[in-house]
Amino acid sequence: MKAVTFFLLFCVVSIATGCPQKLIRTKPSTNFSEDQLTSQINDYLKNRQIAYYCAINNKQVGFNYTDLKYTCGDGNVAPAIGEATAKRIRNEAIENGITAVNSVYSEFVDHLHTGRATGNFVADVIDLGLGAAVGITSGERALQILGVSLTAFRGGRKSVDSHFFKEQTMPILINKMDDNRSTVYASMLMKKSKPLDDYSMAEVIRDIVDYYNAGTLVRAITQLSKDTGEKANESAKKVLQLKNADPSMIVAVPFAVVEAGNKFTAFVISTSATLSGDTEKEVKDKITDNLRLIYRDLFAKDALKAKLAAFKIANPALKDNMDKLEKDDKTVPGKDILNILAMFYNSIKNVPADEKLIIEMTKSMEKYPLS
Amino acid sequence: MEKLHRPNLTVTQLQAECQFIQGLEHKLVHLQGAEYEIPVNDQNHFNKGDYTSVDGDFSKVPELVFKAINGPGDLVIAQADRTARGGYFIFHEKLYIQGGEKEVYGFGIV
Repeated sequence: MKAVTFFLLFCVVSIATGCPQKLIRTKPSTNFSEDQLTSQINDYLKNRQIAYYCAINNKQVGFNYTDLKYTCGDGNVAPAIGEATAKRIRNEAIENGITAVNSVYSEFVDHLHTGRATGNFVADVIDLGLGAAVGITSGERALQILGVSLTAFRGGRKSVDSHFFKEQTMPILINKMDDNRSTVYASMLMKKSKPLDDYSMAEVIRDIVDYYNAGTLVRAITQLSKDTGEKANESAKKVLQLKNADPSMIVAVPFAVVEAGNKFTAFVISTSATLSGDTEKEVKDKITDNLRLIYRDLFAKDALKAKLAAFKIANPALKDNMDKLEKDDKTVPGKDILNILAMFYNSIKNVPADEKLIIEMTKSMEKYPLS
Repeated sequence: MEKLHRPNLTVTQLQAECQFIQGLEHKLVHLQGAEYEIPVNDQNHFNKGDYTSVDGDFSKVPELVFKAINGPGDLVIAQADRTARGGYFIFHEKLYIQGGEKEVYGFGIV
């Protein structure tokens, strides 16, 4: 029966696709577009899918040798027989599906080899591939997908830039299609021995469609682009090769300073957010009070007092508020104190010789925690 | 602003050092290992950090998070972590970590 079915499919494919040489010389894609191919394969798969469900539900399955189709009877069979029949039908669909797709693919590759110079053919082929890809990505049901994929052969020519195709060399594209097809084929072979629950008929049909699409130019080009992209990414993950390094750009800050500095900046950023947010007035007042105390603590340290004096001269706009803080005047708003502390921190941080004072600033900050 | 970070730091130390360089004025925009033809202090490997000003708005200074990438799984985890924490991508490059080359993914949280 397998041989009969194979013969039927082979005939259908041959009749539907026509003479390869004629396709190359004239309009190959037009001949590919015979409705028969799509409908025959869809009919075949539909019949096998119905028979599969019939068998899996322990119904009697018959076979009509006239039209080579299964029929679903009313009688019941033992579950073991139903399961064995379903598995046989499923595997038969895989074999015949692969055979049908292989036939179409062989002819397609033939055309690619011989018809590359034919501009129309190139455009048609791209059109074909695009159509098939659209069919798959629109998420149709499995049986419909095959129809859409094969019907894509018929699609009218769109404004596809054939230069994209021409830039790829034919052997590379064909190798990539072979590679893609082998991957899907290997996966199908592995799944073929699986029980019905793990590899259903619906999945078989999806895989046949996938196997077909793996042999399209668009899939080959897409996969090649993806491979190239991955390689590009890999190469991007390399260190830079440069000529000269500017020694003044090298960071050599002691870790104690780094740690203290990061604590201080985190404190400034979070305090700023709290003062700007919908925080209760009582909390804001407490924060303002703490900021004032931090400033006064800094002012009490000799090394920092001198730096604050120099900073005040360099920033006259801050002088009034700094004077008030030094006199323990409590009228300076929290935001302004925080601004003074942030700017002072920046001035210290930007002078390598003063970096160690950051540790002192952080100690003062830690004396008056926010919470 | 460009800074060169030493090649012998751990990922955590490098992250802290970049955070320190950001301070309250800058944010890290890129970090990548760099091999220099002419050595400085007998060292020709550095991690080149590019920083840009936050124009006085220190609320725009991000908290930096660096993740070592040892395989594709680590990258997925790092990206998921970034998304979960509402972070934004900064770099994914080869850096010099503890003297050797290592792929590191870095993101910032504002």
